[in-house]
Amino acid sequence: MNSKSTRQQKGSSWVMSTFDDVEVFASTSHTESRVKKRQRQTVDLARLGKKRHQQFQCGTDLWVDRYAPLSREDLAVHKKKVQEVESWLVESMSGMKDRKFLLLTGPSGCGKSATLKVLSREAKLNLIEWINPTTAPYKSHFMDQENTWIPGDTVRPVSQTTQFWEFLMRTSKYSSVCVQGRGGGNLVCVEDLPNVFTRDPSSLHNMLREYTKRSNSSPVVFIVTDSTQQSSSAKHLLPPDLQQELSFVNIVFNPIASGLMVKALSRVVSLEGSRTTTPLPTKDALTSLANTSGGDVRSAINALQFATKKDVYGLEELFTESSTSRQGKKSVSRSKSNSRTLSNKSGSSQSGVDRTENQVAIGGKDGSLFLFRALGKVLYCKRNKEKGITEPLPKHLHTQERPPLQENPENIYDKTSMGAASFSLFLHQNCLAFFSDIESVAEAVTHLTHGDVLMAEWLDRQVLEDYAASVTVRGMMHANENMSSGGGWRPFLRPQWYSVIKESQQNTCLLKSEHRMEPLTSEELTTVLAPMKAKILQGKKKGNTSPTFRIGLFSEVQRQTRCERLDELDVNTSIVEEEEQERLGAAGGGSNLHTLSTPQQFNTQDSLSDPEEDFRIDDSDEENT
Amino acid sequence: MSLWVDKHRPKELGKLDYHLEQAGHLKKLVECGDFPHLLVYGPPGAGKKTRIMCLLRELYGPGVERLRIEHQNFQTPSKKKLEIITLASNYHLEVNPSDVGFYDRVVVQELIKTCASTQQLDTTGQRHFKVVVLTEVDKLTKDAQHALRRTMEKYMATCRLVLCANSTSKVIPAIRSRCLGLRVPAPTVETIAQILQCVCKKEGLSLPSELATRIAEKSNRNLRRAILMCEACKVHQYPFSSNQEIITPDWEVFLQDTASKVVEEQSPKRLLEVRERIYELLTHCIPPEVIFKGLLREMVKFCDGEVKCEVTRLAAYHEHRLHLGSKAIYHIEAFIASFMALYKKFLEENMSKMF
Repeated sequence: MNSKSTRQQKGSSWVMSTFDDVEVFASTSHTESRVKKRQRQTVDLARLGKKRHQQFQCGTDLWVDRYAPLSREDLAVHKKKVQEVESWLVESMSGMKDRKFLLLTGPSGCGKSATLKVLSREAKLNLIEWINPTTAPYKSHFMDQENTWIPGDTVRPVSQTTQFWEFLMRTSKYSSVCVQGRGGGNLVCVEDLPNVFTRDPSSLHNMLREYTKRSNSSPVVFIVTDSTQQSSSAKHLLPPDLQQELSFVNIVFNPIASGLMVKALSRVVSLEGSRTTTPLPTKDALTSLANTSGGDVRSAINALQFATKKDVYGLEELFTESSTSRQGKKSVSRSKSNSRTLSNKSGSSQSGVDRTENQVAIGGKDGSLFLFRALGKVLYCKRNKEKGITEPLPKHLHTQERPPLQENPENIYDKTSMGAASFSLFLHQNCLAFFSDIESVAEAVTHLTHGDVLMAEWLDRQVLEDYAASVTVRGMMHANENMSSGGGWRPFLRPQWYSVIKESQQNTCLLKSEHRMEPLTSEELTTVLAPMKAKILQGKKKGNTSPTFRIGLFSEVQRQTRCERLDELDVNTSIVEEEEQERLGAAGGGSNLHTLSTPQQFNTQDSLSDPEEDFRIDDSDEENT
Repeated sequence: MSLWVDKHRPKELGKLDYHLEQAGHLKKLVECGDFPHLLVYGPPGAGKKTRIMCLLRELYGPGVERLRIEHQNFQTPSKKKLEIITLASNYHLEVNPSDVGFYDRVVVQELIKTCASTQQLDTTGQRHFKVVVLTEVDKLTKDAQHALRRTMEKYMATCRLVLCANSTSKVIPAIRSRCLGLRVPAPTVETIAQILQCVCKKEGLSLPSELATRIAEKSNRNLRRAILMCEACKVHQYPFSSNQEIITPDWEVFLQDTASKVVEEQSPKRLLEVRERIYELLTHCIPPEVIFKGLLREMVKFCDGEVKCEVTRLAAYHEHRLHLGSKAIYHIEAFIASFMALYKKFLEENMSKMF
């Protein structure tokens, strides 16, 4: 035992020194240094290496980290938000009830973590952050090589969930050893949630319930970035009812306003300027960068650092788009759309196309839209009224004339990250509230059918999907003639179609299995036999719940609509999955009776509809816009 | 307790109630000892299946009525496992290949192959062939139908096919020409009324002839439907009175209400209500085609000559599109919306004519 421990010590010290050596030797050309000289040389070279190391750091350190805000004055976040968070901190530290959990949400780079860090530092709290451990799986061959087994040297495989729970417990019980001297309590910050929970949030929920039961546990702050992935969205991880149950306080951060962003950027630039002699970017350049960044301060600073690598003179052009598009931008900024994504696609469809080609060189933001916004863009169908009709049509088509669209329909669809079929289902579910007269509804829905027919064949769906979406969206917008007057807010609902079809398929299966011995086609079964049989047996068996009764009879009570409201930040994964299932079902036909498919999917006569017809509509639409 | 439809189903060719001449032909066919493949077609509820079962009984005796349910498993070339439920007796096999959708080709080929490649075990006094009954042949994909054609020829020695379809228009000509076509027309209203009387007599009930005729008229010449309706009427009210209410399926009433809602008001708001009702119908497994037909039948009642024509055209157009597309609700709704627009215009014109 004794010899083992000494060996271990020796080993560890040896490893340390070699490591240093290697670094030093690698950095210099003195690879063949003598062992005798080593002592002195190491000191020398170590100093040298340190210096180098510093320089090295200066070059690669990200400005985001180096110039991270130190006080609340440095924060780019709006003062009120900071105060909100601060008051929560104060309340929770004073032991107020129901102040155990805080949830910070918002888009990426809007200063959620930075605010928390700064505030906890100012309040002298120990901010303990959970970082997902990189657990190496237990490898037995280590032991084989060494042929000895040192206790405590192996990694005991522990599940992430357990580790997370232990972390929570530890932080609530003990104050940190490293940061002694600071008097304040612990504050746990969870930004990097263990991945297990994205798959199965319920285990997290149970853990949190357990956690609240413990007294004197430290407050926990969750930071969740809005995302288009359902599994990592706040709504999925911490659903509203749980938030209610555990009295979460949710503070929503907004994208950083351009003025504040410029301020933050200038701070970074001035700090950098005091350190180096390289010329600094101008104020204008910073402003245009702030505009393009879409409220993401992190990406803006990164872009700035990247851009200044080369030189600062051409900076402004890097951040702005080409000159033609700037004109467009000006016109838009008049109409008070400060969001970058908006102005990116404003104007008529043609200039919209131009502009998407001239993407910002550096620091442009990912323009993907949340479903909610995309639906709104199509259904509210904003047109540039003041421009008037730019492309007049011949006399007989006067009724089809429309002012140019503010948005390019294809762009809206492109940015939804959603299949055409589901997008059109969403449109279908929600369109009726936006029309005032039945004629335009008829027109709009007809376009939906065109889109559907285009997508019917799964072989060509890959190719035709975009066209179908284009036909649907354009048709919908074209038909919506009187909408631009506005008319208040309307809720968006999730489409019912999939649930309806699922239920109908299940019912058919049930009926079929009940009437297995009867030689019937499914149509006869559902339209004749089941309803009549239900009628006949109605009186005899009270309270019978066999499928025949459920399906054959219509209850007087109107089925309550199972529409789920669509949230602003809702994402579409669930419906996409359903669509996939349907697709698989269509391709797979239905291996068993559970995936019985609607007959029209397998219809044998499958000539595609006249494609020209669809394109004609498309064309005339384009002329209008 | 079995329903009247099943209880009073004729089991022998000699006991059929109508199309007696055809029954006689079938009898002769069996007496000859052998027959070609058959394609039995006709509207639903005309007695196709009854006739087929009678024929089989004539061929093999009462043994064909001892049916058992079998689960058969298949594997597609793409290694997908399929399961299909078949009804079989010792002498025949009955299957609805359209149950597996798209992979019906595999089922058609494999099933018939396994069935036909084994000889009849007990050949004494039996036929030298087995019978495979395929239902809903008109729902088969083109692929499956072509596969069927080949299979038919190949296993002619050991197996006869009886195909059952609603219409031959979706059966490829190659199959039609390989089969002996056997059309089973729907029974006339008078025949249905007679049969209803017969059934009631067997049940020991007295049915007024007016009621029998009314039920027969309401049944769309679908005998199954007529007998079911008759039984439902009996449950509802007995003794019968000649002017009692005839029970119709709930969904029909629901659909009629829906149509009158459409006629009542033409606005996007109303369309939203109607959409809910259509969803309701769809969840009750009513096929979209039937919804189309039902809506049209009701809507046409409210229209004038020329508008009638236009409405029918719209319905036909949208139903066609439905078959090309995949999401039925779009097409039904497009039809309703176009009808609303048309009907509104029609009403407005009438109003302006009046003043």
